[in-house]
Amino acid sequence: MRTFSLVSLILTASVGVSPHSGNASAPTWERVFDGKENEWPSAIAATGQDAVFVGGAWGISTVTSAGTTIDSTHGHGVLGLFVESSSSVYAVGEGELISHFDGKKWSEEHVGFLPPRNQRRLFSEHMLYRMHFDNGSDEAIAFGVVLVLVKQPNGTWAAPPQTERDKLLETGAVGPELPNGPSHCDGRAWHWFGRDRAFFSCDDHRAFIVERGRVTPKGKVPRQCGSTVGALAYATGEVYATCGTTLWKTYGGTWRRIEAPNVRAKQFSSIAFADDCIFIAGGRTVWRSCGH
Amino acid sequence: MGMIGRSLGKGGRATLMNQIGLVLGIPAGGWHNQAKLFKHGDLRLLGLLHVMSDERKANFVAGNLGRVARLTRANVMMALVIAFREHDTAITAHGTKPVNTYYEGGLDFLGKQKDQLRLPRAVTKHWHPLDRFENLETHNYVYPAEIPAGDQMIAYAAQEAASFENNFVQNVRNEFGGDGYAAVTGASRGALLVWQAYAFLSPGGRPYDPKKKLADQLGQQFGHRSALGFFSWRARGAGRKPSLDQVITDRSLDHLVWLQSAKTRAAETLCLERLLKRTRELLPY
Repeated sequence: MRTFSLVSLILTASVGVSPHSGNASAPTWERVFDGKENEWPSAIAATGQDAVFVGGAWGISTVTSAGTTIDSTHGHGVLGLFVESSSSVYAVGEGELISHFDGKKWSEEHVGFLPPRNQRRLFSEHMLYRMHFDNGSDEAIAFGVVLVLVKQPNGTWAAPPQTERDKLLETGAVGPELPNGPSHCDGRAWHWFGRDRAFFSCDDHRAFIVERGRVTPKGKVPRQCGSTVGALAYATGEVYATCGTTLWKTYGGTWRRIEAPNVRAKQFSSIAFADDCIFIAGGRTVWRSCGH
Repeated sequence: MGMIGRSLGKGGRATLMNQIGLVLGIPAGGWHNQAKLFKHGDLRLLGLLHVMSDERKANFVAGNLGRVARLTRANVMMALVIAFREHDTAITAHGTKPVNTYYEGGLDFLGKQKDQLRLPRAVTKHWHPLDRFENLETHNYVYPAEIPAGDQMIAYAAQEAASFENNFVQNVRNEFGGDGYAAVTGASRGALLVWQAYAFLSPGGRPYDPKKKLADQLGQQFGHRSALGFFSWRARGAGRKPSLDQVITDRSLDHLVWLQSAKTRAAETLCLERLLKRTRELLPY
């Protein structure tokens, strides 16, 4: 159900930040979404400077220069948002939720049984939180801890046979075999950005981008990030990453820390990039900084 | 071990467990929630004893326990108890089929912590951190990993040891201050086992605030650190030095589910150790 709400306004009150010395940039951040009490963004995506999607337990808020609209997902909390193109965005979440934005509106494409919250074994069989796209068949694949659903030609979603499910789950979780991949990449940590594009790192902190099978080194993940980064976003050949409440960007093979908005949260929940703008979610707020 | 445990009979097993429970401050018959010691009148451990009585399965269990003993600093029997409670098939798991550690249970942060568990690289190089998940209720994140099925017991054991050595020891220093070292060296074995289990179940917790009511602080956030702070405050208020044995002598927190689960696991560990000792006595070599 679409409701028009003035829950958030695109404020122009900028947060001035003094320049850092050394490697950090000094962006200007502005709030683009302030959630109500129960609106904590778990995922964000953007298709343009003035088109950002914010997902969470309440559903999906679409924030544009015209205002914010809310699409309820009826209790199926949103855990992931994925941009295929400006006219194709997917939301996935609890209770097998899959919704699709066609450039104009959101439509629910699939839902399943949602256990009552006090009996819900979170992150279990009913959850979907990631997507990727199969190169061979061009299919969209939504996956969770054990659940895998594949989009059918008729637009519905279906579970694949067991053997195929295991293979798809493995590819979704840790990525495909890479004939041109780096040697001795132990403990590979993989993250899909979208069709044909992903980021991965190795135990020794080496980082890489994969685009259409081509592997590009991106230096080493900063030690402050430990063995895993938090949120990741792809930005024209470079990567933005969060570690706790720090924000980093790659410049070729170098990682530089970027001044992030000051948030009262232990970590940023999600980041997105579109039209030279970086969006970052922390606490109940989504911030935007452009000109990158 | 499995056969000796089964041969005790229902009455013998109950007597043994109730004796152990008396030492740890567990009521006779145990608690009746997720921390239950007994099920249908017999030990919940009976299921484990049955597995260990099956020669084929026992070989897998023995193989896993052997790796735990060689590669980790964990209490081997407690690792077995933890694995059996968190995901019972882990104790006989073998092979390289990938498993998601969150789905398997109890290893929510393995993806983030795998390099801090003091395991050989030959093991952890096959462990892949997965994308983190958000708990939409608590807004905390889970960092699971994908690991070979046969590594599950190693993961539980290493996590048990790390929670104790890294988190618990540091928190004893934080909450007991200068009395921390003496508290650890002077603690009874039973009390240390309870703390070990508590540290695995809840590696942190909010600091105890003596200005607030205890009842207002209990719940999921009352981790082992919170309990250390509480006992420290209680002892100092009575003019005594804090002791880790307060966890079994002071019943103020016995209604806390975390602590009940910890005591239950400690009791099961002691029971298995008793059976192991008896087994060794009976073996001709």
